[in-house]
Amino acid sequence: MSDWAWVTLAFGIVYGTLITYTAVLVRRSRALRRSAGLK
Amino acid sequence: MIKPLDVAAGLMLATALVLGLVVPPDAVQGDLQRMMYVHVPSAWLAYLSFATTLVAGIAYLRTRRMRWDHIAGASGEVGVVFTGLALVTGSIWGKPVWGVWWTWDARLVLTAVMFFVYLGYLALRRSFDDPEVRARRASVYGIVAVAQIPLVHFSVVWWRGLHQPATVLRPGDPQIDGPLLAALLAAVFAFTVVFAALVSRRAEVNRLEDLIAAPSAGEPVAGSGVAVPPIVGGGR
Repeated sequence: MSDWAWVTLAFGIVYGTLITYTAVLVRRSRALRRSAGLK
Repeated sequence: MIKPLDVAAGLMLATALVLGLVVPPDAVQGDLQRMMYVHVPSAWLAYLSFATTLVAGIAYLRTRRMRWDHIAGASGEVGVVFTGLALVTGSIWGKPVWGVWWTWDARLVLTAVMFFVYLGYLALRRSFDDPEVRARRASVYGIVAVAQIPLVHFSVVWWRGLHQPATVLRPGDPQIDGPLLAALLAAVFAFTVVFAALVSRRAEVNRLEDLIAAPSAGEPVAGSGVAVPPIVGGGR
């Protein structure tokens, strides 16, 4: 693998994880607010 | 609902990404050194997360306000995510530079131990139905577990291994070129804003989970609808 391929892999994992985790938390809080009868 | 903090985190993260990819490569490692811009911030944010868990745990024990427990739990979980990312990116960096994915170096082993200890913290939080019991025990666990941070950080000084010693957080001037240091600090700042956004979100989820789990006033609890016949005749 080239140097840039390693760099892309590392950046992809970190940025992908942070974006996915944020999206999961946004969805979860939205669903919980609905369950709790909050706006 | 998207909050201003989420937008700020996204913009900072995008800026850090661009900086990390356009600054000049390292004289020795070339472009592989760019992994520093995700690996080092992940490791530092793991420290910050667990330090936040400690402070929020102490604040809970002093005030008994559940808000502090929600923050402690949130930063514990975010810290586990950052520690996992530091381990994975370190492994990806290690393969082309050291020739191995993993080695039994003190820094690597202690970071892995820290990861599992805080997984235990998250497991402990899920072990109790009573939020106050959970908060009290998790606070104590979070206070004790944080002792690992200096152990992890100074492991490269106390034991000789493959992992390089500290470049920035060390006595004396940082041993890193100006543009590279600027890109690194931008990434650390961006990750810190992301940390704040994630903890805010996760603490909100913790609060809502407790709110939904708690029986509201007047709502029947388990067993309250069962009529118990009076005991007559002395029970013989």
